[in-house]
Amino acid sequence: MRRAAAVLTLVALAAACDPAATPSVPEPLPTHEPGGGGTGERVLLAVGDIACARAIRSR
Amino acid sequence: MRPGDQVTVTRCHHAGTAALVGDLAAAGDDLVGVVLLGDTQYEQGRDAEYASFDETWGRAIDRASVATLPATGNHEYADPDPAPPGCRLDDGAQHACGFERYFGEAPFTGTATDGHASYARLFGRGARHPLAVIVLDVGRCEQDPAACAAGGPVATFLVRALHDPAVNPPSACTVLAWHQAPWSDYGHGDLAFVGPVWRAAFVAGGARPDLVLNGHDHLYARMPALGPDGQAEPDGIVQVIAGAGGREVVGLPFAGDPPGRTAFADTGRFGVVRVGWDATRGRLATAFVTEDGDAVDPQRIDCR
Repeated sequence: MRRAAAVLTLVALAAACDPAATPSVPEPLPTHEPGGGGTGERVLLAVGDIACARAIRSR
Repeated sequence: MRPGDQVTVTRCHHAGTAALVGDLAAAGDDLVGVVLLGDTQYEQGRDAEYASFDETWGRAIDRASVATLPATGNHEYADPDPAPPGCRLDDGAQHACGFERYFGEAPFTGTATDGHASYARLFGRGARHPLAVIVLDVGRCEQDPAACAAGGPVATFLVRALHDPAVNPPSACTVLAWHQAPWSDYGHGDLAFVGPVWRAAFVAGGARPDLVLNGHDHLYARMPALGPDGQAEPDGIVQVIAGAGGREVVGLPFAGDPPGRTAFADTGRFGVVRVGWDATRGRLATAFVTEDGDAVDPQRIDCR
């Protein structure tokens, strides 16, 4: 285990130090059961033109 | 506090829209991410100003533990402070370093990135129909139209991303996101400088995106499917403006028919656009969710 962890650390360090490495971080499929009545639907929210400077509205 | 920052019927409802994140999750929505369509923090996206975004939307996103996909807007590039050393979004004449400092690596991380806040993310890798989201750094193009010109860096990144199966798998549902809407029948109108980016999306076959999300105009508006020159076209791409995130809305509720090409608009209420994604059937379902929780203008898009 210790050897495997060391190998993993070296691989991670090598990747971090490689200036040519292209970040590639696919978002994982959620591991929990989706909501929304079991339809299997996942949800992305989109919003723009958001925050005034320092004004909070309480709900 | 600036006089313009008071909460009124038509201004500064960002705390109310941020609360929708928790409300929708509590109602059973399986949230995977939040796309921030630019002009996240007024007036100029400076470091100190981001406290307001952070106290509302920043906290809501943290609590939901979902991916953040921030896009630049023209206000992010209005930062008048000197650019700090090492800022990647410093173009000399303008910079968005407050945005960069607040969002950290998020605008530089994904299945593809140009190192200038255009990037792509892939949700549900391994699913029958994953979701590809491509975010573009169009915010800079108001002052630097060459960046959005045909063959310029933004359009070039988009075409490459759409054609790359690791970024945009053939079976994916594909969403593009950037700030300035190319087509609008409201405040800013059609914006010619974004036209080349829109046209670049019309690549062949299934690589073409299914939906384009924008902001800039302060309302919710959905266009019908539009062709390369903004004309209604059945095989075109649907454009949705989700610019009612809190800063202001353009007016009081208007119940009449929307103008021009606009298929549906809500000019008087704050809210977010909810994009449901069915990874099994390959469908998107969009709706405008108002601050009060009403879901209006529900639409379904079968992915290409």
